[in-house]
Amino acid sequence: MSQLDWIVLAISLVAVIIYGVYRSRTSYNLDGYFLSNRSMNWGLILLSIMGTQASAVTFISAPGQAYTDGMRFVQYYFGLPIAMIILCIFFVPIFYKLKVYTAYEYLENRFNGKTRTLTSFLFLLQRGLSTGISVFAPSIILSSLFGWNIYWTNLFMGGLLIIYTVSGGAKAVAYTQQLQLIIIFTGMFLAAYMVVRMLPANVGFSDALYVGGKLGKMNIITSGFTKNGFDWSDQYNLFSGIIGGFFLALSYFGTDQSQVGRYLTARSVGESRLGLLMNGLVKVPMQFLILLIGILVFSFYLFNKAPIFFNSKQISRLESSTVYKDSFTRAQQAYEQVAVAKQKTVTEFASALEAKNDAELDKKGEELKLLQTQSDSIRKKVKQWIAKSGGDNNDTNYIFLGFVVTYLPEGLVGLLIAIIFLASWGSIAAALNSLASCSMVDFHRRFSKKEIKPKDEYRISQWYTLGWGLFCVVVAMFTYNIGNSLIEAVNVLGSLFYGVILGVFLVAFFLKKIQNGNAVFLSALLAEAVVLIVFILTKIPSANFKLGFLWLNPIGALGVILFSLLIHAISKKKKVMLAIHDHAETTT
Amino acid sequence: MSQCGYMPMRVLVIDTSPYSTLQIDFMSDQKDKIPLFKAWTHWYVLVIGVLVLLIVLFYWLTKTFA
Repeated sequence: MSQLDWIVLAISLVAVIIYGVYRSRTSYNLDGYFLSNRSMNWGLILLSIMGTQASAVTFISAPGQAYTDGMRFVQYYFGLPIAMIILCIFFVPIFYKLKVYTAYEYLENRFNGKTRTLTSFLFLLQRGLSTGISVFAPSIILSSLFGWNIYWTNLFMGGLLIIYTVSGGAKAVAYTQQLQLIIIFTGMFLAAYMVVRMLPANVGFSDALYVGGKLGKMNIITSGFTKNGFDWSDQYNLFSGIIGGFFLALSYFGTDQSQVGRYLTARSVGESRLGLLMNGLVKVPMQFLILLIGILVFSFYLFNKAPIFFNSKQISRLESSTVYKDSFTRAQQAYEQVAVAKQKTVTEFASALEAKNDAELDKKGEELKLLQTQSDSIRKKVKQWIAKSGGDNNDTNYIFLGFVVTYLPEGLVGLLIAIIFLASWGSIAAALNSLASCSMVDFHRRFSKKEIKPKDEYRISQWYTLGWGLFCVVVAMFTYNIGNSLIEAVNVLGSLFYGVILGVFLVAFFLKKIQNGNAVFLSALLAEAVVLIVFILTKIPSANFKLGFLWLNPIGALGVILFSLLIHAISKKKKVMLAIHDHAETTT
Repeated sequence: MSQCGYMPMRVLVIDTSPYSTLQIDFMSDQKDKIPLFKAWTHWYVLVIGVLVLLIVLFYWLTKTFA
């Protein structure tokens, strides 16, 4: 990074911290610290919800995802707008009416304290670990790219935001997220503009999309159906996106305190609803545009030679490997030959496009497809060698940043790196605030034998925020030692628990006849067992059972509902039998 | 129709626990001024409508650019 990049990076980060601390002033009680005294308007709610959901990986990984797999990832968000509507109708009014601090507080009112404790504990466990990973994931990418020390990078990624999150609570989180998103969107727009500008003179924006589309990258809508019927293992298609994505979004926005805590800060139910509905309107187009940057980068790399693998650290691994060194050298030579041929063909393709020569367009398009298949198969081989030599063979997260660092001008690189930090800070700060609120409200306050003054509650909450912040940084530090498998495990963790937690809430909201908290508690445990069994089956090759992870969410949610109904029916039948038995005894 | 142009409110009783008085009022919160539209239902229709439009647009883009 150049000096100018460092200056831009430092100014962006310091500006956000100062702004966060400046906006920290709030009343010294839990209402002020966790709910911003319920004073936020819908605009802040919207930005806060978006800032919480979009982590650094969203901005790094999504363009890379489009580069490798095409645009179809956008379907993952199709269920989100529907979930926003359900939240507005059912969840938001209840949370407001009960004046809860956490979503789980409602479950004690509805069922019992045990159910509240279980769901809140599951949240703390899952969110605490995943936030640690949220610190580590962008840190390891930046560390690999720039050769930075991973421990220092972790400390900056997860440590600096603690300053304003501890001092200002939910208010500071919301206001900094607003500034962060402004910087993030500016940077992403400039990056997209630069990619288009760097394409050859006769290739415009739509031409770049056309080239990408010719090579199968504009696969925005896919049905998931193959010759053999519906492919249940397909992660992203219209149906898994709408159904699985709906359940995932409903559980994430309706039962995950890091999101619930954002819209509880709204000054009214209406402001809260509007923030959520606006999120439903803008999320899909926003994600589409981020993915589109990936297609532009893909087209750019057709005209300019793309690296065989975007994580240079892993390439060094192969180059120094005694087993794969020679094979890798040969593969690299073959890859470069194909890249030169691709450059020539895509230039001819662009000329045919300009001349509107359909016959030539089809011919060059077919040639391009063939060359792309060849380069893909070489890349596949290289990935296999990296995996066999014990390295990380997924370079999706390095594609966009690799492009940024290599091709973007000075200053913009610093801004894009700042985006990584700021996007991380936005989601981590919200997570710390929610972890502290659950620790304080769902545990400390309930189990403390002493009466706590409001000002002391405020101070203790600050300590909890600090404690969780340090915990997440420590998790990030340990993750480096444990390796990538843990990252995958923690990513799956969300899908393993979200569905069940959502199921508990759905029973609470919609099955009024079920009053027995113990029945719901037992149902949650049984449904969790089913989800775990299904998940394990997908991991056993001999079981020959394939299922995309999004489907675990509806399975968990429906599992709780079905078990609750079943237990309710059995206990009702038992009661009737006992009553008959008692009646028979008394009459005899 | 009420003053705000709503249909009579539908009310769903959600539980009969000690919190049985708690009811979800589908079109409640009339105190809140609803921006742009007269009822929240219109907002919900807008969100669904935009989603459907986006899916149609994406389908068209898929076909056009493939």
